[in-house]
Amino acid sequence: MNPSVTASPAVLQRKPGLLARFSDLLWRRPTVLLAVLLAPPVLWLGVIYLGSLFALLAQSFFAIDEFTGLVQYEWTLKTYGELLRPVNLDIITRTVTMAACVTVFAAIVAFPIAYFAARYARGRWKAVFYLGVMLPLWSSYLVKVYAWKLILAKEGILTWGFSKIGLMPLLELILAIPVIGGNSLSVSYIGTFLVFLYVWLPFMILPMQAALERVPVSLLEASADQGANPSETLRHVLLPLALPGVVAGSIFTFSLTLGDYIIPQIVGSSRLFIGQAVYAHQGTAGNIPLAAAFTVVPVVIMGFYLWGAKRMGAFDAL
Amino acid sequence: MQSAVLFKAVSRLYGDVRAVDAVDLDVRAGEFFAMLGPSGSGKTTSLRLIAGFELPTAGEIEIFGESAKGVPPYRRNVNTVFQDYALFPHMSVRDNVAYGLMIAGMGKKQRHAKAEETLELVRLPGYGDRAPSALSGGQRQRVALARALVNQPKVLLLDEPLGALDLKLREQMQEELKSLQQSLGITFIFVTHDQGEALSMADRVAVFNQGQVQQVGTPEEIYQRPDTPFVADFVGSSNVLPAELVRELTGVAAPASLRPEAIRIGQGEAHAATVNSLSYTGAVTKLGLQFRQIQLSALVPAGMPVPERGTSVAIGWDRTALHMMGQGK
Repeated sequence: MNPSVTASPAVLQRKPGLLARFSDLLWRRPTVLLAVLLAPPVLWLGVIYLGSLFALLAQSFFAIDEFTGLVQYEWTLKTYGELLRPVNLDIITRTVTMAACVTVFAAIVAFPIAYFAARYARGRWKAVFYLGVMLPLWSSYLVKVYAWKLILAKEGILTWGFSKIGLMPLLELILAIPVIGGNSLSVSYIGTFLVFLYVWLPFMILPMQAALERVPVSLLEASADQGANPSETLRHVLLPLALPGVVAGSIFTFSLTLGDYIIPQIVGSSRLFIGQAVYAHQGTAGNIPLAAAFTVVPVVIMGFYLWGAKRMGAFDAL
Repeated sequence: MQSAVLFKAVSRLYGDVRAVDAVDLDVRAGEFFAMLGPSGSGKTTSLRLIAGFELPTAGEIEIFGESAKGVPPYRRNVNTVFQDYALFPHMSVRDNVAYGLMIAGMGKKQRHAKAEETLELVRLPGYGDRAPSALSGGQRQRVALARALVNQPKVLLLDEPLGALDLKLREQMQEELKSLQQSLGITFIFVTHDQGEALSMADRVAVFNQGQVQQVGTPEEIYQRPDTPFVADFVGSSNVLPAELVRELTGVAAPASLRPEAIRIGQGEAHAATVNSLSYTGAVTKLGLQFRQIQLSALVPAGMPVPERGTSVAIGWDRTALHMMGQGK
């Protein structure tokens, strides 16, 4: 026999030790590994997150005693009745309209950027794209919002820019539009809208880019090959296939706008948004049930939104 | 005969890389034309130039006598069967096939009828409601073919359409494509790296290497009388004898090709060689022979005595089997 063969180590190398045996166990029983990995997030999501959400939901079915201002722990729909009063409905309509506008415009603005990144950006340009999209997310949200307040203010750079290029009448025309206009951009709905659009735009671009990147170039070529001009290809092939990304992005922009309470407080008219109403009711007003009921509104709206998106087939391509 | 596609000194450069390098081609109307070559030889780029996905850096392409200069793919009456089939995943098989007709503005009822008709042609009747993802590779291939054929193109371009299929299915599709082409009379331009596929299907073959066309001819011409050592080697792995050796043997100093099956082995032959490898492939056994300074490959049909490795054998061939070539590009 060849001596080099006899001297070689054993084919099956058993290793002693607790750690080695544990890793062997994980290899033999993948379910154990799964359980070890999943237990913390399941506890976190299931107990702490969903648990508090249900606690919140329960709170909304209580009401406060109008004389004492104390929460009465009895099941009632009184708080929801209060939620549906015109002044509160106004808040809801205002917030939902804003969220819808922000979402639609974010999709329109994001599409070309996401498309460029998915189709054409390579290597260094891809890095520039990610940096450009993500960089604003690295700085404090408050800093950005206050910066926008200065940009949009009557003495701000935007007004100055408009006056320098002689477009002051245009700006005044825009500000003269009833409801969405105002004294200056920083105290108008247009201003609030612009800041929302800016702050949430990355959350639309990134999922859109991911969806567009998964569309093979050959599908676009096949569409052209079949006689479709670029706009027909966009409508029949690219948009339907990008829809999951658009929906994912719109979930972010829509729900983030629905819940935000800082931007409308700093930039815009002083009328309340849902987030501000929640903040006010759970804080100074001490009406926790009404605050909870206000919080349920975005949850319900998002539920309907997702249901509608699913029915439209937005998740079919996933 | 009329030209379906004419290349006039067409080049396509990517930076310094000459993907297609001053190619002249003349594909005749109604023929089954194969572009054969290894990967990176420029055959797929040439196909994409015809489809309009790429524009030539230099030179001109004519399709049925008209210059294709600046004409985008969606204004060319040519259709492509893509290598990955490129079926639209969000549409049913029927909508995939009817896509071109929908774009052309045909009514729903009419285009669905035409799609079903074409699905029958590719032997997938009644598959219209399925999703492309529910089909096998061979079925997807047929849908892609139907989608291209439904537009009744003047030229059908096929980019390695059989590459992803297994051997049995591939052979079946080869026959079907060939008979389809003959019954429809459409010009087929077929890109492949499989020389067997090209030889068995095409009326004429263009052999590509490094962006240039090495030879255009019928399968017999390409196989029997290769113009260059590359063609001899690539199309059926012929033995290439260097000019030096050919001069010693015949007195003419030119490289020559010698087909493996033309080499006879047995007593009484003129030359001596040593067997240094054997590989059994079923119908034949391939021999690797050391003959003077070169390696030759030869074939022994099944049932004939196979010499052992390391033994020396006598080999010979007919004078006409030695085919003289140019030096090639």
